[in-house]
Amino acid sequence: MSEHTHSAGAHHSHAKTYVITGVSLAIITAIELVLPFIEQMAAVTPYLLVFLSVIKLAAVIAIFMHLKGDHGVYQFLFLPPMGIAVAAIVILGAMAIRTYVPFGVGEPRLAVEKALDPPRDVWPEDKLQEAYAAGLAGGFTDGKELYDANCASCHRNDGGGQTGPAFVDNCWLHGPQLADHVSVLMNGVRGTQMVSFKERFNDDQLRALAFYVHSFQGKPATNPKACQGKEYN
Amino acid sequence: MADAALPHDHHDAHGHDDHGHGHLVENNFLGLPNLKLAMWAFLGSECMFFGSLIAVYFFYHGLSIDGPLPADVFSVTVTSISTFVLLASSFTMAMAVDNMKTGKVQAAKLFLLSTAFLGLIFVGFQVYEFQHFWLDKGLALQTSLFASSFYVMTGTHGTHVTVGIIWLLMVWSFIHRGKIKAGNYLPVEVAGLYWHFVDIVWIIIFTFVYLLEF
Repeated sequence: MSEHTHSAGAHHSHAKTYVITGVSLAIITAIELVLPFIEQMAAVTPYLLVFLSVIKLAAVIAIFMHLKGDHGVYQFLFLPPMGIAVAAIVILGAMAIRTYVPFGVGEPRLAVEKALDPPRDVWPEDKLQEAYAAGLAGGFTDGKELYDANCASCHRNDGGGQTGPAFVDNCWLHGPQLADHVSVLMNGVRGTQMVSFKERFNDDQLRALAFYVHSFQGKPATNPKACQGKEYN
Repeated sequence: MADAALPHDHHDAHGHDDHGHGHLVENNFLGLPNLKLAMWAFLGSECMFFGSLIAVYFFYHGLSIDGPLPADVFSVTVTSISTFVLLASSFTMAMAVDNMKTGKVQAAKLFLLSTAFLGLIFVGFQVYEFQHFWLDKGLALQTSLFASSFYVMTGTHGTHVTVGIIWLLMVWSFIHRGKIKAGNYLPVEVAGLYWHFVDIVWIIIFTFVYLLEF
């Protein structure tokens, strides 16, 4: 059956197989390292990476660990738990994708994100100018109410920031303009708990919120969070 | 089940004269060495252990409220070097077992030392990575879901590598002092199984945790 049926002491060397396996593994790893940097491959890279790592896993287990051709009891002890582990990773990973915000401000990094990335909502210039004018004239009164109900749990009532960044300093992660605030509110921020609010608020509410957030700058806050992002003057 | 169908790779050839290590090659009712059987069972449980750590990392991926995020801290250079180092160590480990099996004890000892040395380099890279993330990038264990799940997952792996290094050095020392004799390759083979397992865990972490972020 296998080479193990030789009587002890007459083991053949597998050095050649090990050298070939080792070199192959190194080559596959080198390919894996290059793949993420080839723009044209972005759509298939994640699948290729999964495929290549499965080959590497199989090679190490079958050849280096000698499980292939070894006694079935060893395979029985190892392979089913490994299947359970892989299932756990796949299932929890899939659950995470469902809760993950694949869009928002900030450039998409992962190929999966690029594929899923919807166009971002932007307000036209005249709409923004209108919002500025109305805000400066004190046209929005419900900004504070909306903010306290929807934003204060992360950014605090005084804008000092808690889990989310502070608004009282002149530091901004996604730009200092009213247009930037509207964009963050509408699109959310990729990979964070800042979700999109465009379904929840109408245009007037978005304007009111963006203006209220903007108005925090320079105001006092108790124990404000340190500067995050870029400082604007 | 006929006995003849079983691989007798640990046949009575070593007899029971190997000075206190006779228990290592004692066969159980399956005709398989207990030590190797136990190691495979242990590795099965380790699969589920690491499986849950990696699954938790993925589950929390993208849910961190505050940075630094993976893309802000990961370095492709550092990770690829340490990955190649660990890969090379798997090769030297396989060669150590092979040489022990074919009776080339001196070569086996040299490959064991090389494996431990490569493992040490890997751990060194991880220590560098952790202190760089923590002190330079401000990513402490409690910073975010990413930080906690990342440190616990890779830290557990690094601990396994460290345990592996100590184990390999012990095996080397046992061979050196004649406590493991030529022909008794089981202790080397079993240490090798553990070492290769630690390598396959890194194959998964390297691909899915690091490479997908670049």
